[in-house]
Formats: sequence, C-alpha cells, structure tokens
Amino acid sequence: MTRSPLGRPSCAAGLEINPVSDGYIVYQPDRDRIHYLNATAAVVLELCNGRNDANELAALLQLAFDLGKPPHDAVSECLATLMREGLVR
Amino acid sequence: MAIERHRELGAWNNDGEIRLTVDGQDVDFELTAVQAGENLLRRMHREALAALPDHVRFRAVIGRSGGRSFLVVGPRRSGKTTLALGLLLAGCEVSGDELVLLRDGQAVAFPWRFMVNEPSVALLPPLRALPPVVARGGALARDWWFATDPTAFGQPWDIRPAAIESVFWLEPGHGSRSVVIEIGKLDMTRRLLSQTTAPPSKRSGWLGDITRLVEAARTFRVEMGDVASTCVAVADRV
Repeated sequence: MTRSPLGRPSCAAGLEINPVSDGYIVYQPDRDRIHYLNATAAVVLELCNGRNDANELAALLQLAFDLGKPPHDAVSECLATLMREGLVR
Repeated sequence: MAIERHRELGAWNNDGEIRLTVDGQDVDFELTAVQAGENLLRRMHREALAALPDHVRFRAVIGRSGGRSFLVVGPRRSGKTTLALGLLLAGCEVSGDELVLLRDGQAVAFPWRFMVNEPSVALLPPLRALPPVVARGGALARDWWFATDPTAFGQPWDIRPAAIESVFWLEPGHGSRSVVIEIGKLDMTRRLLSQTTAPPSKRSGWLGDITRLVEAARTFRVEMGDVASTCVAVADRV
C-alpha cells in the first residue's frame, strides 16, 4: 500500500453539515459557501476523522458499497477536491 | 404573532401631487393615486419583511390540495403565477404566488396579492371574468396587469404556517403535455437554493431549515406544458 500524500485527513472545523437522503449539503461559514456532496463524497467526509489514510478510506468504501476492489483513484480524486475546497485538512 | 411595530403611513393631496408620509414625516411624493398606493404598499412590505429577519425567503407558490401543503419553486418567468392561478381555478387553495417565508420547518406565504398579466389571461380565459382591483397598462402585453387574490376565486385566503409535503421545481415547457419527474433531495436543494434569500440575520441553522423541508417532502421537477395538464399533474402528486 502506498502512503497517502494527505496523511490522515480530518474534516475541517466549523462546517455546518446538513444530511439529506442522497448526500450532504455543507455550509462553510469562513468562506460563506455551500457545497453539495453526493453519497460517496459524504461517506468520505464522514470517514475523514484523522484516523484513516487514503488507502484505509478506499478499503472502508469497498466494504461500505460492496465493491470488487478498493476505489483508490476515486478516493484520491474526492480527497483532493475536499482538500481544495477546504472541507478536509 | 404579537404586533411588534407600528407605522402610520399617509397620503395627502397637495395641489396635484400626492405627498406620502411615514409617522408624520414626508418621505416621497407621487402624481397619481395608483402610484401613491403602490409606493405605500412597497414601504409596508419592506417594513413587514424587516420585522422578520430570521425567516428564509423563497420565490415560490404555496398552497394546499386535499389538506396537504405544497410549494412550487422556479425562476422568474417559469410560469409560477400562471400555474398558481390555474390551481385556484381548479379548486386548490393557493395562498401565495411570489414570496414564501420559512422558519423552524413551517412555511407561510408573504401576503402579496397575485399580479395577473396578459400572457396569463391568454392561457386562462376565465381570468377575464375577475374584477380587476388595480390595473395598469403598458406598451407591451406583459406590462399590463391587475392584482387579485384567492377570494376573487371564491376561495379563502388562508395564510398560515404549514409543514410542506411536496415541492415542485417548475421549468417552462413548450405547450405540450406536462412532464413530472421525481428528483433527488440533493438536486432539489440545489435548485431551491437558487431561488432562496438567506435570512437577513444570517442566523445559524437556516440552511438546515431548508434541507429538513426538502428531506421531509416528496420532490419533483415539472416541465410545464399546457396549464391544465400541469395543474392535474401537480394536484395528483400532492
């Protein structure tokens, strides 16, 4: 397994997370922005608790969605977006 | 709700112009009685909205059918007012066609009269029989309008907060039969927020008010073809 360049990401502090049945609507007060996260991104955000690196996140998503293999590329892409938007650190 | 603010609005005929006052102070003047009335009405609405700083505001139609409350949301010129009038003619209770306020899961119409213009009348000929209360003309058909309310349709104008059970996103169609498709909550929230103004107080949790409303309701996208089939489709889903 490769080590994540993001380490063990954590959800940014101060976010207002509003769940709906097919995702999250997240308000980011410091940037006054609203983000729409689909179900996969919402699960990734939930799992960004400072204890999981990207490989572990991919393994957890494989279990959660009953996938044939860990979705490393999708997780990396999702983490990069969440990081860029300041939702995870 | 307790009365929290009092304002005394006045209109005084002053040698051909109408002087407008608020609490005895001159604030403006107009040349005709209709313009003076509109000016005072705008001021009254502004004052009333300023007294509700914690409410989220939507551009939407709000009503009830079979005892169940619904919202119809859409951008300007999507046909909301025409649909609201069609629903009134079809026997639904519609309490607002322009501005809806939301707080703590309860939505309520802001009490504006419905502005009926010529394109709506062309689509709903029975509207010609309504007595116009205030009418204005303009060079273009869409500049012509009159104000009305549900009582002109023999309906009560019952404005009270309610939990919403169905939300419809309205898109203009092309005169064919209307299409109604159930859509996801994330999609509806994104659409609804495009027609939302945050509460002026920016109180925390206002976004949660919207997501809880959407989550609790059935959510549909409507491609509005002819008015009659849209009314039937909306009433059926409510």
